[in-house]
Amino acid sequence: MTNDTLTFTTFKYYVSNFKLKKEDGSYWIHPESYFLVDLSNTPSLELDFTDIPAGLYTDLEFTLGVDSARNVSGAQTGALAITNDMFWTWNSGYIMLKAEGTSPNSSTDSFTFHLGGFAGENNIVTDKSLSLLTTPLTIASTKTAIVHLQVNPAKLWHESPSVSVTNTIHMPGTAAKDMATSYFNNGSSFLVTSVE
Amino acid sequence: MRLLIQIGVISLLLFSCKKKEVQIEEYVDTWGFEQPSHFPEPDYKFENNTLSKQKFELGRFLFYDPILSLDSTVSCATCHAQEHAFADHNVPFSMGVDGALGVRNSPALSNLAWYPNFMWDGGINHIETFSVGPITNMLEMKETVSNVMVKLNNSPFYLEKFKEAFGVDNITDDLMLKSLAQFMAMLVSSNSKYDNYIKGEVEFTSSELNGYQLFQQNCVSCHTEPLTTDFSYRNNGLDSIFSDQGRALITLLEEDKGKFKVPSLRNVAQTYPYMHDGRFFTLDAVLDFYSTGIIDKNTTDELVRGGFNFSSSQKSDLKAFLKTLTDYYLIGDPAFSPPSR
Repeated sequence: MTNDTLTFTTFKYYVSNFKLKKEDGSYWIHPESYFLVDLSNTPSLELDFTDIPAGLYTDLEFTLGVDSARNVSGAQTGALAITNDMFWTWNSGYIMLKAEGTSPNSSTDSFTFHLGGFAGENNIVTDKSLSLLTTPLTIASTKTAIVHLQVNPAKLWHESPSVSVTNTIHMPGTAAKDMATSYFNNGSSFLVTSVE
Repeated sequence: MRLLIQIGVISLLLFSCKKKEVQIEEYVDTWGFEQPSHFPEPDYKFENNTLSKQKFELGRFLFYDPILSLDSTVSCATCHAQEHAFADHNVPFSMGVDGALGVRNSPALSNLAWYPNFMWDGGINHIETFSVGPITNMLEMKETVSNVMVKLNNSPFYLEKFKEAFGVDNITDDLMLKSLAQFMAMLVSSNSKYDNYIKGEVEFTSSELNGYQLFQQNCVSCHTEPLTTDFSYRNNGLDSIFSDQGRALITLLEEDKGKFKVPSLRNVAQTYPYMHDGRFFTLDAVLDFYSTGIIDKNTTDELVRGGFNFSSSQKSDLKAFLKTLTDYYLIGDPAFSPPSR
């Protein structure tokens, strides 16, 4: 932890390819499953899935970031449209997490972290599998089930230096990889807090 | 891939009092992506972007329309002019919005359907996302894609054109990019004298033939036939200190410093100045450089180290050969010229 004081003006990231694993090991796979979660846009914090077969589901699986295929397949729509300002125009690929804001600890009073990378050692796309076994998820025709996930932006700096040392990342590389890894993979980030 | 064929029949009826003669001339006007018989399969196959005349024509309007730039002063064609084989007007660097000068020479556009990557440094990985680079570059069109969408959606002309092409009432960025990709992918250069020679339709002069043999002996490892590029990134020994890191700006790899994409030589006689920074204005200067000017240092490619030491007659023959790569069909094809509304 860096003990920096950070005020965020932008915090957006992609989650994609949602799947639910059933008791028998089979999967329900959400088609065309790309979401841009924008903390300044409340509706984007609720991901809505419909037409799920009734049953008991044991695991929630999804991807943090945008899979490599969609980074190399040309023009995309919806959450992946270029108008969302989450695409590097000069070095093709999605900005999978964008965190911007101000900080008295930064020499420029601001910080800009654009994290991405989908190939080779700079790949930050991370598959996530969350067990729902303690409170299994029941999908029934009569009600909407709700899963609450908790994320912690502070985890970005778990293994990365203070903004007094690094206040900008704008392309794939080791720095982006380190930051994304601690955010995506840290045990207390992307935690299921409750299932209704 | 889809090929649309439009068959038109022109009937010429000639009458005279001496004899009655009827001539019927039939021609087949093929429209669509034609695979040149001597080319490999293209990389871009219009997947998820089915080729149509309407989308192509829309792409053509967009290519020639400065609406894509911040203050409507710069279009794609400003720096990619048909009469220069879709390179700029023989300037090292192109002028963008507010008179800003770019930092690399505007490359000629042709045979883009075969390209795995775009730009001198290969930073852009798909023909459909290619246009976003120049649109948003602060030294080029200096615009945002979102603002282009606002302008297009406020244009009755484009609302109608997108409706015709895609059946939509609301213009989205993916559709704009796909129509631009169709126009660019159709810019096929395969009708130069060189192509006709390969196909056995014409003869080379003795000088052209000597030049072609020299080219095959010395140049094709990088300028691979028939596209005259192998799409790799190489340092051809221009500099010992790199003011532009080239490919390394994308890969961050030390060994990629000073490397740039091997450019296609198609229409090379029309597209001076040469190199990523447009430092050489003549083919003579380029051939002199490859003869004795190469700097063997750092990441200089093995294939050019030591230079080629061409004699003056060899240079002259190589130059004669390079001129056979000019494709007057591409440069003159009305299908690619500025459209009229």
